[in-house]
Formats: sequence, structure tokens, C-alpha cells
Amino acid sequence: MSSPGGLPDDDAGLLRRTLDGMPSAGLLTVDRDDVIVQASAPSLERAPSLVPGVPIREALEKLTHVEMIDRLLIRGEVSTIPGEPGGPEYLWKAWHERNEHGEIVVSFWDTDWNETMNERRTTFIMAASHEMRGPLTAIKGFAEILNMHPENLTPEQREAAEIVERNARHLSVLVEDTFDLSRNSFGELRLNLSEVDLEGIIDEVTSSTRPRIERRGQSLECEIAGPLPTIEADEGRTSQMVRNLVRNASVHNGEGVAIKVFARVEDDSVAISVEDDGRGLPFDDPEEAFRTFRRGPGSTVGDRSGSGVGLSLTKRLIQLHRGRIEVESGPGRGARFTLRFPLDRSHALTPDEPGPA
Amino acid sequence: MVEDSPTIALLLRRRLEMVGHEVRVAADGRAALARLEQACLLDLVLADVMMPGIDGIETLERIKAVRPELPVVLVTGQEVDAATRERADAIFPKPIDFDRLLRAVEQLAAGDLDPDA
Repeated sequence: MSSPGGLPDDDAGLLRRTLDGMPSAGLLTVDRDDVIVQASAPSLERAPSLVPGVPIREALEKLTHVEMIDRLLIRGEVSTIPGEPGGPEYLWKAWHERNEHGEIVVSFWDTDWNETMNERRTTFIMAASHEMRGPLTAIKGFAEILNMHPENLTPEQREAAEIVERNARHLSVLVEDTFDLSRNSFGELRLNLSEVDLEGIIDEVTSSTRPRIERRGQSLECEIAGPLPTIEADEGRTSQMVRNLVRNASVHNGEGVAIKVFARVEDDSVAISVEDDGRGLPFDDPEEAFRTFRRGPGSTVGDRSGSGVGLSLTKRLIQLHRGRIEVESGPGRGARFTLRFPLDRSHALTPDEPGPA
Repeated sequence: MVEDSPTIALLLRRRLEMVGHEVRVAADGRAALARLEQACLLDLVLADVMMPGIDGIETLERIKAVRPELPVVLVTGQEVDAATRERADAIFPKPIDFDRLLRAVEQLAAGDLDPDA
């Protein structure tokens, strides 16, 4: 293997070129007497006083105080130190495992590097999920058309068309939720508030999900205790949250499970619970359910229910409503998720307020 | 119907035709506006918001300037401003809920100016 620039193609040379090519990170090696042995090119650019031959402590003392240096060099903690006097700060870390020459490695990187990487990832997810919406709409929509006249299909075709529609619907929910979550990262998830009739929403969600639930051999029951007050909320999002919980209760459980939606006024909130008598959440800590792409130890490959995207989004949406979501569950004891909308009108939302980030 | 994606246009068209509507498709705002000048028999315009050239919002504005009584329904993947919300007869977010869209089209085309959309 030849190497550009005529550098020796051994490990050290390769490492050196890699490090010089990392523009947002600086890297130094320090010998057992704390004298700098090597400095990568980006390192010299950002911290020009830290050159080979200089004791690192002495050089750092011109940039920060002694405690910070001890934190970095002795305690091995990530520390914030500028590159040059009065210049921008970097995150520094000393790696204490010495190589065969007794050297340690000290690295530092731009404080906004982590943020930049996160932002890029979120932008990518947002763009990717957005691009998937069009084709998915077409797949789902045409599968629905096929299923409108199943009598024109052979049994095998009917089965195929149903499976396509069901999976397209599932993927569509997943993509929409992923898209919404990435929008949330940029503060772009907003509520369209109006006076909302919760009973109407619960009725709509239960009647539209019931046929599918009953086809799975499960039951769905709904109980509304007393007249519920209207609340200020986003109608579409509220319906989405309830639907999400009902759908979760159904797809995470097998045949014979009983799902119940129970709404009432409790203390200073309107509470909507979705509970089931199924197998319970596969986590020791039920709060794990709100983390994305966490699967319980009991979930199997191909278990289509395990992404956590929907619950994570539901949690975010209820928070935007200044409310909260609670979860109770135990192995074999089913699960109960409760959405709480605050009733306190003194904290009424205004349409321009996107809520806490 | 004003829709730049031929597949989505076909899907919407089939769903509308299945309930008895007659559909003409224009691939962008420019084509739709040109069509509007010739044909006066339209009952309703259904337009996607995001399109190259003259987008759905501009199409809406231009239609309302010449034919304020012609109902315009927008389909959108993003948030739209309050003025557009006010001007459009109905706005549907993506992914489209076909049942609600078809109900609104039915009501608006029949002259009911306040559909529950």
C-alpha cells in the first residue's frame, strides 16, 4: 500500500495523517516528564504555545488556573480550556494509558463539535423521513384502493394486498413520528390550539381503531367519568396521542387482551388512561418505554412494536401541552399510560408559545 | 387538481373518481391558472402547497383574485401562515386523511362553504 506525501505507512504515520486530517480536534502526546513530544497540525493552529519540547503544565498555566490543569492531567476529567490567552475555549481530555514509550495522549476539540454532529444527524433524519412520505402515501393509498373491492381479487392477492396496506400504515406512522421528533429537535413542533372536546376525540379514536383491534381478537372498552370540561389543546395532536397509546396497547399484546380507555377529571387535570391486561412492559424501569429504539430484553427479532418513537413523541406532545404522561406496569400485570392535561387556566397556553424546548 | 407528483395526482384522482367526481390534473400552478381561464365549469380546486414555480399558496391567491367564489382546498406538508389559512376554504395536512378530504370536497363542491375540515 503506498501512501500520499511519502510518509511511512506504519501505524504512527497513519495515525498522524488521520489526526492532522481532523480539523475540529487537536492532539498532543506527552512523555512521562510531562513534556510535549508531538502536536498535530490542528493542535498547533489552535494552541500555538503547546509545541514539542515544552512542559505541558507550564504551557497550560498561561491559559488556565492550576485546579483546571489538575482536573485534566491528574483526575482525567473533561475540562474547558482556551487554546490561546483570551481565545476560544475547547474541551480537553487526557488519556492516561501510557504507550510503550511512557507517553500519554492529550486531545481537545471544539466545544460546538458535539452540537454540530447532533444537528447534522437530526437534519439528515428529518430530510430522510420527509422524503419517505411521498412514496409511502402512494403505497398506502393504492393498497387501500386494492382493498376496497376485495371480491375482485383471488384469496392470495387479497392476503397480499392486506399485508401491504397494514405494513404501509405501520411504516407511515413510524415515519411521521420520526419526522415530528426531528422537527421537535429544531423547535419546529408547534401546537394549533383551540377549545377541544376530549370526549369527541376519545369517541373518534376508539370507534376508528376498534375494528382492527377486534380483528386481532382483542377488546376495546371506553369509560368516561362524568362530563369532561373542554380544554385548550391541539385537536389533531391530542387525537394522535390517544391513538398512539391505544395502538401500542394492541400491537404489544396478543389475542384476548382487554384494552380500556378511561377518562376523568382528577385533581387539577383531565386524565386519559389507556390500560391493558396484557404481558406488561419488558423493562425493569417503565420509563425506558419513552426512549427511542429501546427494546426490552424479551423482544424478539422482527417484533414490529419496539421502536419507542411513538411514545417518545407522545411524551413530547403532552409536555408541549404543559401536561405529563405517567406509566405503570409490571410483568404480567399489563400496562397503564395516563395523559394528564392541566386544568389550571392561569397557565393557559397562547398559540405563539411553542413551549419549553 | 394541481399536483406535481404524477403518482400522488393519480391516487387522489382515483379516489375522487370513485365517488363520482370528474377530475382534471394540472402539474403546476402555471398550468392550473391557464386551465382556469379556459374552463369555467370547475366546482373546486384541490392544490398541493409545495410545487416548483407557482406554488399552491400563490395559486390560491391568484384564483381568489379572479374567482373568489371558487372553493380552493390546499394539501400541505408544512405549516402555512395565518393569511393562507384564512383564504383557503380548507387545508389538509399530510399524510392526507382521505375520508375527511373526500367529505370536505363533497360539501364544498355542493356549495356548503363551511365544511368541518
